[in-house]
Amino acid sequence: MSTRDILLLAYDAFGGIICGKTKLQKKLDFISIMLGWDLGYGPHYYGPYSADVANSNQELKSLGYVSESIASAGAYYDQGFEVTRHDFLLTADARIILGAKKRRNAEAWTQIESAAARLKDAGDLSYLELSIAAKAYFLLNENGSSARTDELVKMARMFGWSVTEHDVTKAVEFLKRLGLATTAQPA
Amino acid sequence: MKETETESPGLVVPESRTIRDPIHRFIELNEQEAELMDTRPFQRLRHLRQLAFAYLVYPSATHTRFEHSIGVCHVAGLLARSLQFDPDQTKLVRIAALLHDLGHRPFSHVSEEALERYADRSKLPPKTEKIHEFITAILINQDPEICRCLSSSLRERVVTALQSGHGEPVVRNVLSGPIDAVKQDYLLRDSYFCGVQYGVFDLLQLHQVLRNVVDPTGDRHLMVEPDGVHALEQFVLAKYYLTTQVVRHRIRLITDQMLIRAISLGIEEDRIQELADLYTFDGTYEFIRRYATWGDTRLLQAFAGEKFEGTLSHRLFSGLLHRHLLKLVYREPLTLFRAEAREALQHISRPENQGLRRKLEGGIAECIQKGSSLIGEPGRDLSHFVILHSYTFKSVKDDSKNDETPILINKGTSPIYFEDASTLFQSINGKLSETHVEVYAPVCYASPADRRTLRNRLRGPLTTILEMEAGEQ
Repeated sequence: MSTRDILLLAYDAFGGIICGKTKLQKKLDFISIMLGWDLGYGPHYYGPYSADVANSNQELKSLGYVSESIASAGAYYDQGFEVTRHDFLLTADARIILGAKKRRNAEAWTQIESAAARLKDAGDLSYLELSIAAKAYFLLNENGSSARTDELVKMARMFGWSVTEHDVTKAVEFLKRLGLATTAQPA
Repeated sequence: MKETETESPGLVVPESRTIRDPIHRFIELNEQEAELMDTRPFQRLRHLRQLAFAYLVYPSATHTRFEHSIGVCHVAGLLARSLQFDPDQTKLVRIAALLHDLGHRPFSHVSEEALERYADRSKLPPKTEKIHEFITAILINQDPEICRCLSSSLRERVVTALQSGHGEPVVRNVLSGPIDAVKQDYLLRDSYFCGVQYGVFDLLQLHQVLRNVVDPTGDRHLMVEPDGVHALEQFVLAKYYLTTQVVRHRIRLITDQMLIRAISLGIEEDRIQELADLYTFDGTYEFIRRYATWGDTRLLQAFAGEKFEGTLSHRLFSGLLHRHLLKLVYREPLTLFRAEAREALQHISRPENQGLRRKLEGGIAECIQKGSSLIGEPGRDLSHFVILHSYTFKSVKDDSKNDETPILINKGTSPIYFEDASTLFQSINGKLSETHVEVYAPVCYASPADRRTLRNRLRGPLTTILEMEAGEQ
């Protein structure tokens, strides 16, 4: 199954809309982690980034299956790194082909739907909180084991990015709820 | 360097060299780099044109991957200095830059599609995605002359640095990133040799504003200073214009597709063994050694020569040699078609869509021939020479990233993305990415009016054929 089809199905699983390029990247990153799929994620300043996912999104736009709207700049500037918010929305044309895609990839669709539901249940994080969670997890999980929450907190505090304690706590709680972080052991 | 002394037993150690270059004026290569330049795999790059058939549009665009590679080595060195790399990193990026194109085949990226299609994947390591990277790695690791120039540990580091997605971010950004040394050289060089101003930017000014930023976790990243946004805008626009005006020129798109079709006809229909041997990559050094004896001119002269006269592929090779090109007879945006047909049409060139493509091209050929006096050879089956193709123009915003990570502007603890920092780019509509479906065919026009007549006549019927058949997929 192509990254493009995975992304298309993920859009549907997230209700047909993803608000922000960072959220798009991080949500797909967590889906790839939960399902064990390689979507081409590599290190980036603000956490894992996949050119494959970015290109697939661009393909969906040129196919007319996803439309993009850009929110005016400025509002986020002091709070993080996304000055402009790009919202991506499934189009009516995408709805026409989605049924066939789901039938053809029934098992993958079930997996994506369930992973998206787990992400939603784990908390509605801002793009910044998602980035903290994704980067901390990426850095501490390179050997494949679950990260410890105390390590995650320590790591996330190091990032800078004007993050608050609240952001860090939310990010770590999110990872715990996803089963991607274990409780810190006493020293 | 010790390495040069110990790694060249039996060879006369060459001196450093200064090379005249129309873009960078003087390029200094040290002893080791000069020695690498003198190896056969590197000298072969003199026979691979940088822009494939662009010389059929821009007659002076006959520059080669040889001078481009030397230029990239030079720019990588300048970048290393700007980013304050240590001597070891500088050596690594310069050598990797010098060798980055070693795996290219005749007509470079154009015939890559054929190499990807006909490679014997059962004999390649699993997960070999980019064959040209794999070939470059084999040449660096196994070519005896290159092995004499580089220690095995340095060869390993160079190969890793050249692989997509590997190595330290800042080093990777110099070799393969949105503002890497490869792009910086080719924009200036291609513009110069095409005789256009589209790709021009201020290289030294750009280097002034680049920074090697260490993040709190210890990773180093290439970023641009806030007051360098305008220099970067100039670079990004230069890349966009050069891509649209030169790389994606209408004639380039046609010639590229003609070459790919010529190769596939030669292998699949004409059963030309020499051609099959050239593209059925089996992962061996022996294959690469054989394939490395071919350059652009040899390929064209050989398969457009008398020996293959009468074959289907000969007609296209010969057309490329003598500039008798197919013509664009149909062009529509992908979004014109109903939703179900678009995906198949967008990737119509992929091997998995070959059956559909042939069927569509057969129907299109029949439609073109019906009642037309503009066909070069009436009565002859044209289906092999009708080419259905699609391509995407990325928006200038998407193009700024290319296939790599976005460019960051150094704003202290919270760097921001270039397109957000640039007032100019914020004002550009990010949605303007378009895919077009085109058909090229062997027709003759006596006048522009003929061309318009044929295109108008074909628009409706061809759209119907494409929509009906592709929509069934």
